[in-house]
Amino acid sequence: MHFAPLLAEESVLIQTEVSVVLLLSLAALIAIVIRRIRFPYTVALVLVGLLLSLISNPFQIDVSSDLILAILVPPLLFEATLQIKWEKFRKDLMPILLLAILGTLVSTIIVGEIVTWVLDVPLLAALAFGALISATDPVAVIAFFRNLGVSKRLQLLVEGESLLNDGIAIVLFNMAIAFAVSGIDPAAEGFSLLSTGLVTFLEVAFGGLVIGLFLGFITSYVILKNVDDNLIETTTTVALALGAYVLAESFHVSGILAVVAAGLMVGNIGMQNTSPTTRLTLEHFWEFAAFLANSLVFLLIGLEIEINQLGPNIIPIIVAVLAVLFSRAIVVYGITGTYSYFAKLQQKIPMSYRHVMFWGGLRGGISLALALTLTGEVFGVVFANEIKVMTFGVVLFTLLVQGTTIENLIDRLGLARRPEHLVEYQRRQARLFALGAGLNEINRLGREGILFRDVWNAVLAVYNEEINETKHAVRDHLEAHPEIEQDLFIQARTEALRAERSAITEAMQSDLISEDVHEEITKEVDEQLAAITIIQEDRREMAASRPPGSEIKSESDQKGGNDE
Amino acid sequence: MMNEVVCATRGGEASRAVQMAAIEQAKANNSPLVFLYVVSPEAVKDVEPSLKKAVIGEQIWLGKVILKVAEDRAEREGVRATKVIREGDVRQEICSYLTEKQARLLLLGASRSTTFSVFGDDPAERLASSIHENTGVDVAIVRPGREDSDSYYSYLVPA
Repeated sequence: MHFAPLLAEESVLIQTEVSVVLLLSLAALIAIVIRRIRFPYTVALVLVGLLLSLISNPFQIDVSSDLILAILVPPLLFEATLQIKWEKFRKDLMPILLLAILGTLVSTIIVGEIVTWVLDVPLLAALAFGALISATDPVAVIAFFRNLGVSKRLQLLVEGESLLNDGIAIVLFNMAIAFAVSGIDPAAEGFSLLSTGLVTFLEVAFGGLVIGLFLGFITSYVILKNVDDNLIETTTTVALALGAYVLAESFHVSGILAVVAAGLMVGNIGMQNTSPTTRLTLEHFWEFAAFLANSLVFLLIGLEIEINQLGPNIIPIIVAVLAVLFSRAIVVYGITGTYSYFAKLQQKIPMSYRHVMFWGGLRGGISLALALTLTGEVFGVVFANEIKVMTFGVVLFTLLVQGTTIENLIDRLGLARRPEHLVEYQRRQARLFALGAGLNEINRLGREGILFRDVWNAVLAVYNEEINETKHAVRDHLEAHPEIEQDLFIQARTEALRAERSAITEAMQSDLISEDVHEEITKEVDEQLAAITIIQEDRREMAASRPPGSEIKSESDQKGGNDE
Repeated sequence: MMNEVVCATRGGEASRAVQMAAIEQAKANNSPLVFLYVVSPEAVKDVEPSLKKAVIGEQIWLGKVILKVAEDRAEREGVRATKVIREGDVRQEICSYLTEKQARLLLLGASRSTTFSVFGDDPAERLASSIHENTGVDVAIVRPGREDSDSYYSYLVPA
């Protein structure tokens, strides 16, 4: 009988489950608190993780590079790429590719050289660090930029670079390790090393892209087009996101680029081939999956960083941070400046965008995952530890310093897409909500006899007067800016349609209607919801793409007439 | 039969200004007032064929709400207004409606951030003159005034 190993295995499984439950509860708690204060969610997760690791790490989870790269990162990348429209991506593909490929290579060399020169780390170890720290982290970047309200183009430039540069970073990192293992001296090899590297990079990058595109194509044209069941279709996309990574890695090509390619394919073709109901299910499911994975990645980053190691290694960390900032500045300003010099007027990258791209180059889970793969066998224990500590330091710096100040920078550069008239409307509306809450409280105190009738009446009268004045202020503002009205109509319609959808489901659950009728009417409402979303996005897109003073031209030219 | 004052409205930045100007014109000349909303499926980009019908449906829904707001505004000023929703190319639909009804005046809205052009290169003015050439109906362009100014709109009615 072999019960003992079985029980031991089960106990590890249960312990892991308990840890996951605790981590999720913690993430939910942080998310609730964060809603009330103005602070980036991801930074809060890292800080709480750090705090817990200081006290005692109660979680029985082994944070390996595989856990981050193979399980947590693919859903995040897949969700991010689902939302990227190829038409827009294509327009900025050149600067994105330049930043992702040339930028990562240049940054790896600059960081590697500085670290070797200043800290006396062997060149290949320094280049391995340069590679793992040069790629901006899509998880961190996307988590921050989604909430900043910047223009779609700036978001796309930053996200696009971060999605594609991991492929080359991982190739460069693996090459540095392979050369170290086989005793190759990069200074002596020179050109042949460069050509070997280029061939390896092309194989790994294109291999990953081909596998991702192939699997994405099959999913989009075979499953999403022909199977009309939202649950089966969603399950297939989960298998695709995780499977693309695993399959590509098993062929020794880029798993990350495979997930990116699969996501782009499903987002641009698969989503068009499926029903609105499935589309909504996919959007909601992947939004949830990304939130889940995001929460775990950042909590685990906090838990994994050995904070007690940071103090004694402060000099290498400062050198690494400065090297990373210096190389980022050279790459961003150099590449975007050169590109803008030759690009057409509309394709030039404004200087304000470049500042955000420089300061928004955050590092996160992928750098950490690569650093965790280092053991003493290749570069020796001392240098492997030094690389890990420098990685911890740079990741913490980018998340805690750059991550908390990027919003301020965007505001100062005037890139936050919040028109003043909308902010003013929200301000007046907020005052109205606040006064309404105050009035309710006064009424409660009056009804419970805590306030005397005379006092109650007097306070009530003043409150009612203030509420009326604020209502007028809201109405005046709406009349002066009727374009806000349309947003309100759309918002009301969306909420009403959601209520209709729930009512249909309730009717089916109460056996008032059959499943067939439920499916038919739900499909209809889902189409209406999809349509209103399209109209709203179209309006936002047009508003965002209009430079001041060009409203009539864009609208009437694009819409063939009446601009108003 | 009195000739109509037609106000083409889409619920944008100039919607209140153009509606109020139309109400003022109808009241001053005792003309029937029509609020016209044209649903243009081609105007919304990137709509896949399976959703086209739903997008048109939702545009019509939005149109009904926008026209209802306009109708209420007219009613508050003591003017009865008719609401019309048409579907198709904005320019063509406006022209054919004006011709069918032999309207007297069309009012179009334009964004607050533009001014009347000196060189005739303003797209709203180009649209207005194209409609005028096609139908012979006078077209006025209405721009909203600033929130802090006395007048919340300004427009020129062709002589």
